[in-house]
Amino acid sequence: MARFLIRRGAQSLITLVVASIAIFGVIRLAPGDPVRAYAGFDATPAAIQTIRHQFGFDRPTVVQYLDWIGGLFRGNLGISITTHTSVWSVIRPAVTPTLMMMAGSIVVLLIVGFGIGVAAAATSSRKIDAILSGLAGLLTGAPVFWTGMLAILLFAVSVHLLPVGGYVSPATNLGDCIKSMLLPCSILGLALGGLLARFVRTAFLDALQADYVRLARAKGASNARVMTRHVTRNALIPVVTVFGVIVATLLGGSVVVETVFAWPGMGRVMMGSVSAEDYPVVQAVLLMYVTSFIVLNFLTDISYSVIDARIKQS
Amino acid sequence: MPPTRLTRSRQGLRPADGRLARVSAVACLVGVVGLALAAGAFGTSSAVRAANGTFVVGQTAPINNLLPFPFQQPNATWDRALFDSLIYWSNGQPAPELANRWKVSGGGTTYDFNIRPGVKFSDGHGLDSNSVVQMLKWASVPSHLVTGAGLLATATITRTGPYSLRLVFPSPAPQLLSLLAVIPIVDLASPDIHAPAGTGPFLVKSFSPLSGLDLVRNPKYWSKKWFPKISEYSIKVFPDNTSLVAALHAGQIDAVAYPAFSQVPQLKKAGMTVVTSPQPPGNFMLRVNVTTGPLANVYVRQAFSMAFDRALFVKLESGGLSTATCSAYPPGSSVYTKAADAGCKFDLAAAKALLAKGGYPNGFSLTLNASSERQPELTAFAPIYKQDLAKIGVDLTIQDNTTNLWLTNSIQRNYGVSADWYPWAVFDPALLFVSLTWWPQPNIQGFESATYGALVPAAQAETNSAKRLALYRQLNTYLEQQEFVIPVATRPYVFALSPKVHGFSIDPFGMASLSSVVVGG
Repeated sequence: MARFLIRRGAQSLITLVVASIAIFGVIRLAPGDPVRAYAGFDATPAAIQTIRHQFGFDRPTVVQYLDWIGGLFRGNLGISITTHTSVWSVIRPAVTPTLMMMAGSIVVLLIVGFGIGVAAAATSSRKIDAILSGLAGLLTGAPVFWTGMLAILLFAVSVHLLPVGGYVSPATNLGDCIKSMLLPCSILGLALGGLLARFVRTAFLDALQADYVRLARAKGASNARVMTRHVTRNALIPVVTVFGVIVATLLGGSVVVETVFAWPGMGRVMMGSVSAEDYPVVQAVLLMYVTSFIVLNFLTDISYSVIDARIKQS
Repeated sequence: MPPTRLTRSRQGLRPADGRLARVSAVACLVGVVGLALAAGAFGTSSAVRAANGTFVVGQTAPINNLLPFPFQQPNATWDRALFDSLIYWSNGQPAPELANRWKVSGGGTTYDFNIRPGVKFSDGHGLDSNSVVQMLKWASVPSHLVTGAGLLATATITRTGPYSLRLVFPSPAPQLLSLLAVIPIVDLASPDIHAPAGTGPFLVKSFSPLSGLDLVRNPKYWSKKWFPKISEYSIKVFPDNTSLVAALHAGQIDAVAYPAFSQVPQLKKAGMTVVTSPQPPGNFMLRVNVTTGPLANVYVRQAFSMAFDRALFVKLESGGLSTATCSAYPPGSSVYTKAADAGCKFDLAAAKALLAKGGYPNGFSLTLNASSERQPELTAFAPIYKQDLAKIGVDLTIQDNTTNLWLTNSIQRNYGVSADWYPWAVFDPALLFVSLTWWPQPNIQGFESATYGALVPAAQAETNSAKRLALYRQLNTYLEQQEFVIPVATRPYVFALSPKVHGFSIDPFGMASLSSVVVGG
């Protein structure tokens, strides 16, 4: 197990270094000038040069990269071009809203994914199975920006039940917080819940048909015991594997949903910074996303080996 | 224990577990219903908006920081809420604000200002001539991106008393008073220069570049006349105009700052109040890169102006808020005369003849640098312009760029024509030339000429008002002939308001005027 962890840890570290180089390089390949974007039309060339020097953009790219990496080790993500404050001060207020959206979406996707998936697997009716599987496919296939806009039109503009967008902190008002979360979390959770439902259905079907389940039932084990000890536990092995991927997808999908719902999270910080070509902020947010993906994959590998004893032994 | 039923399915025989299916379905249903009930349990969406007494404005542009420089349209929603200027622009004339009086002498080269005593910044520091002198000197540094830094840098700025100061220019500076109306006075002694204290009618309650800005009324605001009626003022940032307008319809916000012009008819139809600046302060325009290719030829530029169907643009894209014009100074300016638009027409045959006269009878190819983000109206009209140009042999490639790429292309002159707009043409006529767009030396479009280089300073230096106006009209005619900027139609500042908002107005600089605003009632 220790060797496995070390090997996976080393692989993750290499991925992270390669990703940091890619992030740094790709941003600089984008057309446009971040300083000019900040300074506007009427800034003189001398003013532009002064500001460029202040941010260190007049130095060689390699030196800028090494400075950035060095800063990361010292906990310094750099200075935002647009706000002139530390990058962390730009990102920090966006972390909680994104985590809140992730948590809310995970609740929805678990309810929908397991509800539909298990029901489809366990039903004896082919019609109901087809309807539930079709529903899961519909949820997965509908693009979130489209369902998001439809939901806004229906629940916010037509019936004035929920806000069009924005986030309210639970510390400010718990009720308004829940209301502000309902649409974005539902849209994101439903989309990925449909995907999870398909995996859950397949995994539970396989488990329900397994010989050890039949044997357990033949031995007279109670239905609850069969479901918890034999079906669910074994069905969860493939589900946990994909769940890590789904949560990572959730993180990516949150960028779109945050934009549609004016949600002041990390995705919106990234979109805004890309638009303003605020290199330091874009770099930091992308690196945080990549790190999250890597950590999630790492945790998935570990959980997989914990749940499935065969992997641990191998 | 009941025997397990085996049913036939696509996967073959499978054990049906009816109870499990029912439990799962019910759990799923309970979850969904729970979410729906949670929505209803907390009342309607108006609970998410602020309470009465708060005026909530939505805008699409983020508020990056609270330093009001460079002055840009998105700042205009909060600029005058947090800061005051020395001068206030009222009914086309400069009026006292932080400067309670001033005197112009020396043939327009010397300006003496008296600062209103007893005014304090929101951080408690007193406003005096020292703070204003320091502020104006700071503003004259180009890298601080204050509008008119070039003009201020030519001045000698001195303190003449505890509440008085003097600016002396080497030549007359008649645009100074209108310029000072858009230079907010900030406290340079503030701990964070990117969130400086001001003397304005509101104080910062909370600020997030993503969510927006929440302000509360400044109980110690110095002006009784401009003391706000609303207790709080919020600016919410939305990702796009569509969700912004949806939020207005949903009652989540009270006003939309600068909606797309194409949304105006729908907003009016939905019962919203559309407020515009009293005089459109500038125009939609096409910048023309005069440095290379056929557009270096003045006849070709005139052909491009003549091939633009201004009347159709106004009809399709301006929401009924614009007037077609070919004049650099729009109809609201004292420089404007009807004669300036007498020859302003859409005539493809004449345009074709001008192309031939310029040496391009068979046309040529070029690019239009456009941006739906920055200039949606002209970008939306671009395909029609392309079709019209094709009729005279010009092949126009439309590039719909991001704002930044559009800006970079514009600065680097990486375009043939570029879609844009300009403000500040209805104040002192000299103010127009503060912008690098109209700069008499090689400007952003690359245009320069001895005539232009002589006319601009001569008009600025003229002290006789009648002669001065005549010189600016001559300059306007010259600009219309040269067409390095092609004016298309007037462009006002626009706000859309919920019917329950009263007393709101926009000044000619596009800044929201909040002192009389009442929400509801």
